Parts: sequence; structure tokens; C-alpha cells
Amino acid sequence: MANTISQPVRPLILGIESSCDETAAALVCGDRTILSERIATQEAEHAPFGGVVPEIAARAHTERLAPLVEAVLEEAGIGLRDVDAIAATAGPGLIGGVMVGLVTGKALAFASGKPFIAINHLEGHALSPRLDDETLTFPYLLLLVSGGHTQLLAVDGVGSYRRLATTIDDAAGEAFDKTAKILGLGYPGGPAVERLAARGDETAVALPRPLVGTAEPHFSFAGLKSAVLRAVQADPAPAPENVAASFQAAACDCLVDRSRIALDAMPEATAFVVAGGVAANRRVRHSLAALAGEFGLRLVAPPLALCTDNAAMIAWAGVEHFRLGHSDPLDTPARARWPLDPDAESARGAGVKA
Amino acid sequence: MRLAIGTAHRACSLALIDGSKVVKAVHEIIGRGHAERLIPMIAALLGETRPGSIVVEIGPGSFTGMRVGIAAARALGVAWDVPVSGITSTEVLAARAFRDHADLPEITVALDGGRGEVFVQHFTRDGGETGPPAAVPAEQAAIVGGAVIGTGTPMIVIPAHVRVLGTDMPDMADVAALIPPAGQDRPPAPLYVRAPDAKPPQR
Repeated sequence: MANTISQPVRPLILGIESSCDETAAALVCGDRTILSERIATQEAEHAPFGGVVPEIAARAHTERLAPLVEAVLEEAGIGLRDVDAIAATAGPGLIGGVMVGLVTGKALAFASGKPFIAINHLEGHALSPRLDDETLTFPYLLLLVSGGHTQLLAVDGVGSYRRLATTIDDAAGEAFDKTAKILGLGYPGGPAVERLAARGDETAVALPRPLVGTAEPHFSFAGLKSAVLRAVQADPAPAPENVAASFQAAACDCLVDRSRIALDAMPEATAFVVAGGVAANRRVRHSLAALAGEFGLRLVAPPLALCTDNAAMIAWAGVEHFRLGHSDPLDTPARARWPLDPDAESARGAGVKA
Repeated sequence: MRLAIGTAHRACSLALIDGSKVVKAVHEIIGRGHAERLIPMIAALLGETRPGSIVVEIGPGSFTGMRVGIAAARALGVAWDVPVSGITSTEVLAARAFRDHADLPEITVALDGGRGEVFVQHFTRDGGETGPPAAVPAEQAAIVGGAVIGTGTPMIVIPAHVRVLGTDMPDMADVAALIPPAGQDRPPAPLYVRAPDAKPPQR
């Protein structure tokens, strides 16, 4: 159904996302209306491999993105000439996929004579809570927790981020996926672990909480994952639902303990915000809400569709940048690594992705 | 006018073609970095011209390069509402060989496919391609007929009777030499030839 909008609130931005395993396009207005949105997940293609295969992802983005862009324009009854700018993820992420979305965005911008805005995918997540909640103001503390990232960021303003903590090995979502794999639950693992954990006893299996109680601000999940593997090899093996519940509780304890350090370091924060796929987990949200309460803050958790990778958040980050007069040249490179806070000291460990 | 976009090999190759005449072309060997260079190069080539159709090189070649060209071509097609079709790297080189050598009845195209492999395909002047392109180890590449062309040529042992007609990569200006309807009705989708490097975990 063509849903013609006669006067969209400016700016009207087309957003494109292709940095991991979701191909997405969306049209978002200055008043936070999502005029149209399409997302094509590649879960089925990657499932046999137990994780995202970069070449398969790049192939799928190439096939799907152009029709998706056409579909969102058609659904909104909008022509490219009506758009104020085109925003596309330029990184960080799987470089083959990032290039497809970035080149698509730059070509659309050139062909329509509109400005191009290169968006940092992490910034898309960092600003997405403001798309959902107009009362959320800077500065706020963001816990970005997904399959690729686990970071605590002080969000001081658009383009102004201080990284307070990151993971020194695995991302939290990776630990969920690996636990699911160990328990034979399939991919993606987060929702499967949560469902199984709901029936389990989270005190039944003793698991470590890496770095909890230390003054170091960072996260670590590799030891927890290894402990899950050892736990299921015990004789007799613990009930899978108890492993899932105990793992989930340990992961929550890690997230809460590290976030507490960051909240202590950021007394000016107006809210505690959580984003990323792991933020969909109810046990995680419950634990973080309790922590925010200790600091007299509210927990802002965007709806699930905005927590996982999507193009509305890229378009929204485009809105925020457009309002500040920002745009980027058509030779903007794709970046596999692109830290939001270029001044952050590198955390120890090899698994640091951004 | 047709815009031809070629990024499947080490060149960023563009041509603006009117019928069988090349109006403007640029062929820059950049190695890598197509995603950065391509759109500014298209902008510089076109100026105020808006093509009525787009043809894009779909490989076989560099997977990343192919995807950059195809993403750009399809996006331009959406923005300008013009048709987009695909052309293979091999047929562009075959077209050059047949144009430059009026006596040539058939040609084998051999492209450097990386990993010690070549992409090979055989064409006849009258019938076009005689089979799909294939990725084969360079030492097993067979040259059908008396002539070969392409970047894969230095990688293979050439029998004494075979003429080497060039070792260049595809140049989009040669799209003008293609006799329609070749390259007119292929979808703008990558011609990978090789499956993705991924195996399901062993159980």
C-alpha cells in the first residue's frame, strides 16, 4: 500500500545498513516517524555454519539491497528527489558487506544530487534510543551489547563519545551463541538460551564471573564460555536448562558489575541506556533496570527491532548529523574497524573489535 | 547512451557509449580501492550527462570488485529509473579480439583468477560463447582454437601454434565492440564461478 505523506517533517533521510548479516533500508523523518522500513535477515544462510560467514553475507547483501531500497521508497510513496540525504553504514563490520551498502548509498546520493552521510554502525546503536524516546537527552551512559560488541560508552553528544569499557576477548552475544552451540540449541543462540534458561535453576551450576570485583573497567567472557564447556562435560552432566540459566545469570552479573563502575565514573549521566541484540534478553534488562534504580536513573531500552541491526537507526543517525550540517565525500572508504572513541586506550587482549 | 562500469579486475574501467561509438572512457589501473574511487570517477566521466541504460561487468573476477560495480550500477538504475544489465569479463575481451582481428574465427579468454587458477572461456565469432566460464588450475587450462587473450595468459603454457592477442584486463570501452544482443539481457548479478569458502562444521 502506498502510504503517501504530503509533508514529512524534515529532514527526511534514507538509511542503509549492511555491516553484518542483516540487509536493511529505512526512511526516517525529523519527527522520529519511520515512514517505511525493510529488513532481510540472513539467519537461514548462516545457520549451517553456526555463525556469520563473511563471503556468504556479502553475496546476500549484493543480491538483496537494491530491491530493498526500491521497496522502502515505493511503500512510503517517496521518490529519491524528496529525500534530504542518504545515510549508509561505512563501518565497522564485515568489509565485503559494508562496501555493498556504502557504494549503494554513495551511488544513490550522486545520482539524485543529495548529500551523502557516512554512518558509524556503533553510532547508529548509540543514537537509536533517541529515535524511540524524544525525552532522552545527552549525556547518557550506553551499554552496547551484541554479538560483535560489548562496550560502555559515555554519549556526550552527536559525534562525541568516550569509551569507558570494552571486552578484552569475546562479546557477550558471542558467549550466548557459543553456549547455545555447546548445548546444541542452534544459531542464533541468544533467544534459545533465554527460552531454555526460563525453566532452569540459575544457582545449579557454579560458573565464574570474569573480572567481577576488580577495579579494571573492561569486560571478559572467554573464561565463562570455557567454563560452560567444562560444566557440560562433567559426569553426571548437569541439566541443560540449569546450564543455560546459570550461564545467563553469570553473564548478567558481569554486565551489571562493569556497568556499575561506569555509572560511578559518569555522575552527569541523565539515563542508563542499553542497546544491541543482547538487550533483547529479559533477564539482562531486569538486572540492568535494578542497577539503574540504584543510581536513581531510568533504564532506557529501545524496542527489540531497534536493538538489533536495522536501517532506521542508521537513518536516524543521518537525521542527527544532517541537522548539524554534516555530510561526507563520495570517496569515503569502508572501514572494517572504526572506533567511536579514537582516543580510547587499547584494552588488553586480542578480541577487541572496535 | 549507455554507461559501462567495470570493476571486476584491477582496473576501474568506465565508458560512455552511444550505439557502437565510445563517447568518453576512462580506464585506470588502481589495484584495490574500487569502493572509494568508483563513484567520483563516474561523476567525473558523466558531468551533466544522464545515461539511458547501464551495463556492468559481472565477472568472473575479484568478488569484492564485482560487488562494488554491481552495487553501484543497480543503485544508479534505481535512482535514474533506467535498465541495468550485466556483461561478463570474458565476453568483453572476446569482443576486443574479434574486433581487432577480422580473420579470427574463435578465441579462448583466460583471466587471472587468483590462487593459481585461471578463469577460461571459449568463444566463436559466429556463435558467441560455447560454454560457461570455468575456474581451473593454470597448469590444466586448455586453449581451444588458435588464439588466447587475457590476464591469465602468462600463467599458462602456450602451445607453439597458439597466438597470444594480449594480456590486458577487460576495458569497458570494448563493450562498444560487442555485437548485440550479447550482454543485453544478462541480469546484473555476480558471476562467481567459485562457491564461497565456507564449510559446515564437522560433527
